[in-house]
Amino acid sequence: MRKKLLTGEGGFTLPEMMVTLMVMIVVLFSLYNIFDMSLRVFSFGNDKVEAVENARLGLEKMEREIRAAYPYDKGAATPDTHLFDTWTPTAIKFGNDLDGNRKIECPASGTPPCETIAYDIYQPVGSTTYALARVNSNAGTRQPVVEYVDYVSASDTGLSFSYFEKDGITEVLPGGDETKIAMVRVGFRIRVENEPQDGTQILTTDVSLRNRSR
Amino acid sequence: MTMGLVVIMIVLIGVMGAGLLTFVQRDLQTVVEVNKGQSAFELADAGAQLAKRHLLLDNVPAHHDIDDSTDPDYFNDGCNVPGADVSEATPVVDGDWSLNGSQTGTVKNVASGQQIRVSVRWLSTDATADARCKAPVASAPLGTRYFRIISTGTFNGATRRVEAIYQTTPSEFPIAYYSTRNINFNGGAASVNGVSLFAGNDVTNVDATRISGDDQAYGDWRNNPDGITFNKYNGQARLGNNPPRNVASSDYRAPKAAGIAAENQVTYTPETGNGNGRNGNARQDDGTAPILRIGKVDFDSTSPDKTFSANTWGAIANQPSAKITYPFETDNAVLDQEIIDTWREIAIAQDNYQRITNGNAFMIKDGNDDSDAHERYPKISTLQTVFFVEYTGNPDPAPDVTFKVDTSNQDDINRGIVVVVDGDLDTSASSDSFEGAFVVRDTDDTNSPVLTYKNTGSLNVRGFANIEGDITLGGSANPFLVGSLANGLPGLYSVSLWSWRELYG
Repeated sequence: MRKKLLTGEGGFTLPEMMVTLMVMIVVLFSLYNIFDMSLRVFSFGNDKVEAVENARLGLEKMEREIRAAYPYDKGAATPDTHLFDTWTPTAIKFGNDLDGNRKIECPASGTPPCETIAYDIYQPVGSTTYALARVNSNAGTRQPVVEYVDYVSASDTGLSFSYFEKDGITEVLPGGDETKIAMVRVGFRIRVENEPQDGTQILTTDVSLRNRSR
Repeated sequence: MTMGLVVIMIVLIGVMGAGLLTFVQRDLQTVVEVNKGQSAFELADAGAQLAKRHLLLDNVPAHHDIDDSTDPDYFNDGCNVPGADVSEATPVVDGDWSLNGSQTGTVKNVASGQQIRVSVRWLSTDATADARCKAPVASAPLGTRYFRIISTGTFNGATRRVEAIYQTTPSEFPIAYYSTRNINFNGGAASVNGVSLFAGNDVTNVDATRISGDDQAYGDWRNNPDGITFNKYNGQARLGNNPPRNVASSDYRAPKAAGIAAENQVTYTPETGNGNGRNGNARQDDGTAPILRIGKVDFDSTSPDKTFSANTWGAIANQPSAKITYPFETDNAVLDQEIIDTWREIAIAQDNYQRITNGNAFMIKDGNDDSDAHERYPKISTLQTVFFVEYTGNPDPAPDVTFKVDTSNQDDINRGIVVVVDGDLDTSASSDSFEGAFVVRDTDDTNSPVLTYKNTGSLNVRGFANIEGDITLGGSANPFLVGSLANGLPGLYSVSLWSWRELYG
């Protein structure tokens, strides 16, 4: 039997092998493309998820703080009930009562802590991208909260604010009556870098101002 | 070969799937964490609403203060309402509403891993009070009270705490006998002391000798009894500078006397021949309308004449000097409905609510009666007690609701607010005195049927009646004790948010 195996004339011919190899190359090439695509999708998806996670956390922090926007000095002899120092389509500034003294203060010394908070978009020094900035000090120092904001222009910064009355429908336009604002709609657009075209993700939330809506 | 290719395919597909699943899982985990925090916040918010509902039922400062040095949160006397025997408001579970810290007022275990813990603390306007229990304003508007709510929500390990300061403000509910139609003194059997009567149409059968005292709620209907503030709705005081016509100055009564006003006519019985009206001799009205009568002495000013009418001029600045109007709001249907709805909620919470669909008569019975518990007025009643009877379908003729409560508190005084909707209210058969308010409302604007409130027996009422219909008076009508009204009747104050903030750490 061993002699039969060694002396047998059966097998594949050269053309058969060549065809087989060609077919295998085509199949493996297809498989490789599928694998490569899955890697790209995974990579992009991972980046996007990470970016969205960061954006979501940043948005949630902003939402909690805006929701608790506190009257500047409601208990004064002449009550100051305004909530927003700044309220534009691209920036907002308000206060949270952190120490329970029923008013908003931001001393220069840092004690007690500054209670005014502001959000807008800026380009950090040395960076080519834009970030969501939070200002919580008398000096006005910006701290980045979320990076890779999809900045287009000064009027389309990737961060948008819309202000509404208690019904949630009637918009209060900039320059209007601040005391009518009872809800703020926050829109946030981030960029996810990817070749050949970057992706964007938009997050939106409506924030009911607790010190106005009830 | 084929087997090898199949294995490679399986491995590749597995890698792709795992890759997709990985970041989906990460995203999901982030969402779950965010949702936990959001759910905890919503529980905390629900706790604040629970406390607000409690305040609707009970805004008595002594129930939410710091009692004495044995209280774990004792600050100083400025945070305590004096009165060693005053009990704290007791929530459903745990301690009392005013306790903070580890013994926070009430705890609601919503489900496994989900909990609400909330407390209510009265804030003092005393300048010497500790900062931790001081009201947020240095000078509070008259009758306004402040309460601090701390609510903690826990959801599967996530915790959120919020603080809300609520203020309770007296509502503009008439503290007088007010009928949208007629008030009948039932042949002069009724006596009125210290409370004014107002009718949208006529007041009939008045015996002026049976009207006494000063109007405790509205003074001269322009200057409030505190001598400082002014009435918000009426800009003209009842005359006081000139003695009324035909009255000797020695018999002159101050303009703050309990008065009677009707948009149409006031008529008296019996008629006498004494024309000067002194000592309250009744005389027949001369028939010209509208006429304002004051106290037990007929009032008919010489110059200028003042007449009583509903407000047709709008703002108080436009009020003619010769016209006096109601010292309270009469045409705010929205506010009125809010108060009625509040009372209904309170009655339901106290298990004192009756909704009757068959149009049958109903008797509110004594607390010791053997009948159904829902038909019995509470044995121990307070000014915070609300008993609410409501008929459906606007039955015609209007069914009778009889208030026949003989025995309640140890001092034989029934207290609270009795509300009847789309039915007549009759208190004739009661024997114990009553301190509180009787309210009748008609949901149908057609005046068919006309609803009535009758007190033709000997019931002594200390309070007021507000009737969308006719009033027939017997017995005696007296004002609230000043102290009773100061504690506030539920529903006669509104609860609104003063400030809200989230507590970190």
